[in-house]
Amino acid sequence: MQITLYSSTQIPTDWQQVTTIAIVEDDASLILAVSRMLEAAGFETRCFQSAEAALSDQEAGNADCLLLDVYLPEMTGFELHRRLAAAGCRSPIVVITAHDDPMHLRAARNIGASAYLVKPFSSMSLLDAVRRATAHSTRQ
Amino acid sequence: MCRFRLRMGTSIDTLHYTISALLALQLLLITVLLVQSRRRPAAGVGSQGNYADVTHASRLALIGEITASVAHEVTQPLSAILANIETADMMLRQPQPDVAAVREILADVRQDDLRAHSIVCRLRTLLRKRELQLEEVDVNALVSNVLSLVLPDALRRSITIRTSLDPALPRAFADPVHLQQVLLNLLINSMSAMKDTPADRRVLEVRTELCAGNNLMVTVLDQGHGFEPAKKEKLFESFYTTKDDGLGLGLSLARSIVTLHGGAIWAENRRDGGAAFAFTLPSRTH
Repeated sequence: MQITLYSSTQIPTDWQQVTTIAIVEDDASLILAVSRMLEAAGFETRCFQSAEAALSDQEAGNADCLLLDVYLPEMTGFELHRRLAAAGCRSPIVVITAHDDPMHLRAARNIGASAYLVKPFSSMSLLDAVRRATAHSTRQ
Repeated sequence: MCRFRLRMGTSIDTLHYTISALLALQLLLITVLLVQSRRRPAAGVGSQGNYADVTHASRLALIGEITASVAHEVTQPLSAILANIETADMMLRQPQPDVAAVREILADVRQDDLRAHSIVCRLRTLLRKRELQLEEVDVNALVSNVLSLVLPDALRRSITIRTSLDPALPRAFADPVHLQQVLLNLLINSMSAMKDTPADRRVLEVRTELCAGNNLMVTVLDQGHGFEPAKKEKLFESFYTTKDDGLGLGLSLARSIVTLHGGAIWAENRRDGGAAFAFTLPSRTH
């Protein structure tokens, strides 16, 4: 499938209905802002402010894309992904972090993340990353 | 195919390197100041001018150690502001924008701006050089304030922070900035001490309570390597350190500050591993 880039106001209707992004981020203000941005661009979102919350809700593992913060109170986003994957989650991942650390970049690569975004990221980079991740998922 | 993109990290990196260089200069300055104060006992730590110089230089070095943590704290609201502004922009481009939703976004932008401002203010207060200025201090609020500065660093080190703060704690009569410096020093030491502790056991606990003599007691407990019992008294001496990269000034200054407040500071190894550092302060009612 050819990857097409859409502007934020040109999201296909079928994507708007089916693409759900699970956001795991402990900062209440940031998770709300990112969720708003994705919803304004036509995605559905599920927000989890802790790794435990994401692990205890099937919607996280069933989402079309996981947006994972690296540092979470109980465990890292990488550990959370390991546990979700062990439970059968195969959703594509976009890693977000406030620390531009080469170790994290390697860890993101190791878990097969389709993008690694350093905060603060623009709407264009986030939407592009999520679209590519979900397009990649569709190809599989 | 996996694609990785790096965005907007450069300015934070540059800040990091600059502060590291400043840190090295500050450590040199502290050493010179301490050597001077030792050569001139009359102008020792008890002397207000020299006390302010030494504590200030040491505070700058401490802040250098939590740069990544502070950068993270500021980045969170800045990221939320950017996301909200761009979302509002997207909404306003619609033929019939939802004005109420945009107003709600703007209110959140304001809140995040104030949040970033409060972090900068907290930092600015710590960076300012000042003589000892005693005032009524809510020690529980002060503990929460300092913990918020080190929390991102604790997360990065996979350390869980627990607090047990006595809600009925009376106010202390203390210098809030110098008190923050003492606590920050103990917290950073405790986090460093847990470097080799298994991640699931890395717990940092801060307790406040009222103890004998109507004194307030603050205790920082870790699950780190503890210390050699024979070196217990040396811990608070200048230039004694167990860190590879430490100068051994933090605890010595912490003792000076606590003593000037009329309190005491000490350390104990914990029975189940790790160390507990505690200090007392007279309450306001003294």
